[in-house]
Amino acid sequence: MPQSVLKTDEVAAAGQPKPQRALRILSKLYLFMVFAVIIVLGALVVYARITPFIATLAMLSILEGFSYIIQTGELIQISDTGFTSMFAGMAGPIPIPVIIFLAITAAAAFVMSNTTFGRELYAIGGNREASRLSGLPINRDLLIAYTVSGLLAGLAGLMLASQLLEGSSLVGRGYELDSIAAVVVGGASLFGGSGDPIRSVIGGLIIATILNIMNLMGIQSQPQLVIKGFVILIAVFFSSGDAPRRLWRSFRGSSQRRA
Amino acid sequence: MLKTLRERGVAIIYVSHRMEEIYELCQRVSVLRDGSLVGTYSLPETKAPEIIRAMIGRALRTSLLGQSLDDTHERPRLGTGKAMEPVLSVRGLKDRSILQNISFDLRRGEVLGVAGLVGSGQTELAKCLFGARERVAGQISMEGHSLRFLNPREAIRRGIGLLPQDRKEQGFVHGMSVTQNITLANLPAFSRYSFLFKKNERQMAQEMIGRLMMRSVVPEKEVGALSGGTQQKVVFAKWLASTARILIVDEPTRGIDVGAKEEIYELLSQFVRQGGSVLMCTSELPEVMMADRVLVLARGKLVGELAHEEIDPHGEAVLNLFH
Repeated sequence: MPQSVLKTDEVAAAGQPKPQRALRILSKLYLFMVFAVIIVLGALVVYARITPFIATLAMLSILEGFSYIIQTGELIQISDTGFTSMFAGMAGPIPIPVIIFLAITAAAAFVMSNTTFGRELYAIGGNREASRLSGLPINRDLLIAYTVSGLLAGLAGLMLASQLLEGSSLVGRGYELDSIAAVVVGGASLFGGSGDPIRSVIGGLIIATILNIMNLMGIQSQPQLVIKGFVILIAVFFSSGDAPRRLWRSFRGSSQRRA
Repeated sequence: MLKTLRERGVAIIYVSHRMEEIYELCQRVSVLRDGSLVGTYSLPETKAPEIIRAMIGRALRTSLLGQSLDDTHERPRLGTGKAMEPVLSVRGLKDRSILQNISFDLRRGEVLGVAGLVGSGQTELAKCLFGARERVAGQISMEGHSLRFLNPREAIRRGIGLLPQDRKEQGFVHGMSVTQNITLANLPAFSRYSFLFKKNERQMAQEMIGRLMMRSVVPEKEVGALSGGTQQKVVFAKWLASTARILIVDEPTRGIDVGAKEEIYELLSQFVRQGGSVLMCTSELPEVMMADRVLVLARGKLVGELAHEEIDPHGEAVLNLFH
């Protein structure tokens, strides 16, 4: 999902004419596209009850197709400096992407641990039926979660396009796996109910560090991909290795109850 | 078909709780209860009431507040025994599978038992009243307001709580703390502009731990790691924290040790003395006998209603309605 949203946005962004007005049109277009896509996806998952993973893959394919159609062959140059300096420039000594990254991490961490919405998300992930029977607004919360996730992926797309000064339907390929890897390395359970934004960021940094080390060691990009795959496998193994242990523990707990 | 197989000499183990089927098909019956064998009886010599009695158990060995359950003592009673105004009225309720034409009133200060063999529709009734199960016909009204579009969120807003039969799957969130589970159904009361007040949450948890006698439990403890009885108290506390006035409890003491059972009874009793109402769905005779009034369910239909006084010490009056 992040990959396709990202691409479409880059291309949409890059397709705009030069004038400074472009920025405004662009942001409107960006908002509209991301919203439309995510609301559709969210609705498919939340209301039509399509398995999230399948809906995401299908949407990935649709959007990737669109990005190829829009791009039609050659790269699209971005020469609007207003746009690029907004998402890739410097604010004094600090690069703007760093500021965006810190602000969003802090906001996400705060929301997850200090608001009713965050608490509800943990509860829904932990036990959806118990959450429903506790009166939580499950559909609303899930729709918001999907929307926020999509908007952030869109934002990442804008940042990437600004840094590269071009819109390309090929950039961002494979990011969907990277994002899963980051979250899993950060200790989130793929079964839901655990994990948090700060740890996911640490997971992301670990993955990025590994990739960077490989670059510095001069490893080719093909073996890098292989190594990255193994890192993800190992991370998933440890995170799902926790599940049997938990199952065993609750099994023990329930036999104690009966005894 | 089963009979043909039987005549061909195939040994059949038939698992059922339906009396008619058992009498029609079986020569012997072994009764299991709470995971242990109660007894094996030959058919058709053994009559139905005896088998039903084996299925639902005899009187409690230790009962509410240590009173014994023989004829010499007054039987323990959870409710106040005073008839007050109806708070929840059900008329002609029907669901998609089992329930048919269920009508009754639940009164304030009352523990209303819904008795029946396992699978007679108690759980379905509990869920319908909480809006967690679709009804195809019938009205539910609370204090005169008709609850037309009932879902759990609306039910909770109106002051109804549900202690589900399957605690682990439906009652609490395994990986969350005692505090987080207790405040889950009433988060707005512990927040402003959706910002949580964790201090207030913890305070509430502390208060509930004391009030519900959850000994040696700290508010931060994961609920999944607690004993069955304590887990049930956490779910109970969730409804106290959400200021529920009607509690629907479905097999409230299933899988709970005897000590915690008594405490759950005591909590239910306190709850109705303070003006609440309890609808207690149960397939356990000792529990049935503690209710102020008992509705008997069989195959999804109400087949009888008994007042506390009409139930004899051995529960014959209830048993006779079961089949």
